[in-house]
Amino acid sequence: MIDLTIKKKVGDFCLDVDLQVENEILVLFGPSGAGKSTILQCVAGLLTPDEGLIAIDGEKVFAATAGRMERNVPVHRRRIGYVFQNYALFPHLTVWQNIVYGVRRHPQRREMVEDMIIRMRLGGLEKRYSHQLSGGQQQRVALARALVIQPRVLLLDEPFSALDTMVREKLQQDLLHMQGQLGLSTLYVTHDVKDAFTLGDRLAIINKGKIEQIGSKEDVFDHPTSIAAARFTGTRNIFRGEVMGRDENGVVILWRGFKLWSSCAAAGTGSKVEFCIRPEEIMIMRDDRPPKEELAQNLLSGKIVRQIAKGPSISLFLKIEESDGTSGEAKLARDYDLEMALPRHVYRKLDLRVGKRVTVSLKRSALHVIGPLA
Amino acid sequence: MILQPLYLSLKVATASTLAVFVVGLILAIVLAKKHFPGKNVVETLVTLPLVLPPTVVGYYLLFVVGGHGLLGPLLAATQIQIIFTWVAAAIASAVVSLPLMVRTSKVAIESVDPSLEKAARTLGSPEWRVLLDVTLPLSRRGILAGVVLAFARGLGEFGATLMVAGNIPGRTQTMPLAIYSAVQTNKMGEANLLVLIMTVVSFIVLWMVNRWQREWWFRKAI
Repeated sequence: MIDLTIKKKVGDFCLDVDLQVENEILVLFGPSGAGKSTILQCVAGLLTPDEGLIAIDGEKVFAATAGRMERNVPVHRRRIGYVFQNYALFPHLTVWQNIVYGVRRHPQRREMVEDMIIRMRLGGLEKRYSHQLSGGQQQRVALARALVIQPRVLLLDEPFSALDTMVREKLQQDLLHMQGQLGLSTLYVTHDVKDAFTLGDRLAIINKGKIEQIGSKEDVFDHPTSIAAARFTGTRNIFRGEVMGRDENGVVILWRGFKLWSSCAAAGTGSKVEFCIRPEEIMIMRDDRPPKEELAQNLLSGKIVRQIAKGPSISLFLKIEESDGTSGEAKLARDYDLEMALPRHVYRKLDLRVGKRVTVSLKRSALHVIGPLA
Repeated sequence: MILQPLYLSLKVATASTLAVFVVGLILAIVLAKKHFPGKNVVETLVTLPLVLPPTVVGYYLLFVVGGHGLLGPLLAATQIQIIFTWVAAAIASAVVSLPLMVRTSKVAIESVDPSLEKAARTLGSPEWRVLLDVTLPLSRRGILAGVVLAFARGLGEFGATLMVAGNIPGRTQTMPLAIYSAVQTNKMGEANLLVLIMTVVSFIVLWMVNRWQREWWFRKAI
């Protein structure tokens, strides 16, 4: 368990965070330079915060108030598993020597290293040097080396950013498996949305040295509490509208002449709000079938102006036809209004293409009003 | 004995290199890793012999270890004679070759990936262990290059040696001095031979280092 409340100033950058990590994977997610790695380095003791408190499993490893240092356990006594972005394998040592490094004085080191080699599927590579390994193998050695010391917490700094998708997915499974077995408090830094969603139990969005939002990953992804949080988690469609009224299930928002229902009840009538919907939550309506009841609201029609294939899914960009025939609100800088993502097979079945006119439903339950949760 | 100067040169260069290795490496580590007030001044002072004329360095050395120098009374009291001995030649060599050792080693130490040192720290190593296990092994190539350069510089030292050790045949007359004397006294045959020996020895040293470095690179590249 990690308990941390720290402040650190580096030039103009100011880190100010407060986090608790149970026996779970907490993903620190956010843009480059937001301070994610700085947090890890503070926990490890590689950087010293200006003030605050860091406790690992209840043991205070750092404490300082108003510039007065009370306690600062040096890095080598913190027993922290740290996996670096570039793996940081010792190039002059073999796989075996790399893994044994942290336990080389331990009487059971042989068994410990052998166990790790089996768990991390590194058998047969013991005598290799890091430059003779593939990226995925290097990553597994780095993980084995960090875990063999039986760390109290595991810190991972964008460990999979340099790997191709297939290796990455396999390693993510390895990591989830090991983490589950060992029940380690884990801090995982990434700027990759997919990484964050796959691995995180909870998610903290870090932005400009502060926590923008923290919560279960479903909460953070589906209910961003700020525009920045919505942007970072890939909620492409962010709009402004005015709350017109409400019923027992939520509110209705007026946007460019359309009435859109949202299940969020937080906003008061008459207030201007920002609201958003994830591209994959926009449903395409089929002309030949009546819409299901949950999708019958929030129907919009528009023309596909652009499409981008993204692996298994396709992104479509829609220009909405105005309800009153005018050009609506102030001209947008972009040529589309909605971004939606749908599976390739749906795209094929419906014979979609640029220029085609379609009707879509902004699923009421996924239309989220940005702001503090009710 | 024609080989006496060669023997003396090797002895002086070896002794000087040993001293430069220890002192230079410590200085390189401190300069690469530590930040302290006056660091720039220390670095400049260490580098100064590289650009000063060797006679100037020799003059300063006379000022320190000479009979009337700073350490003169101490040396007299302990009956140690440094000036006009091979030890003086070794000291002169050491001072002029120190910058080469410090500079190359410092660059090598600084170029070790800091994340490797951080990794060693998180794996339970205190600073001195990180230095021995990671930093020094990974900068060994640069350190060795520094040692070889220092040795080569010591082998060819002339000006400062002449100032503090003189040119005493059989005692302080190293190869460069012997060559100079041979030319001065018009013994061209002797000069030719000494020049040839000097060239061959220098060539062998550099050739070995080059070869060793290439092998190292090769191993690293695959």
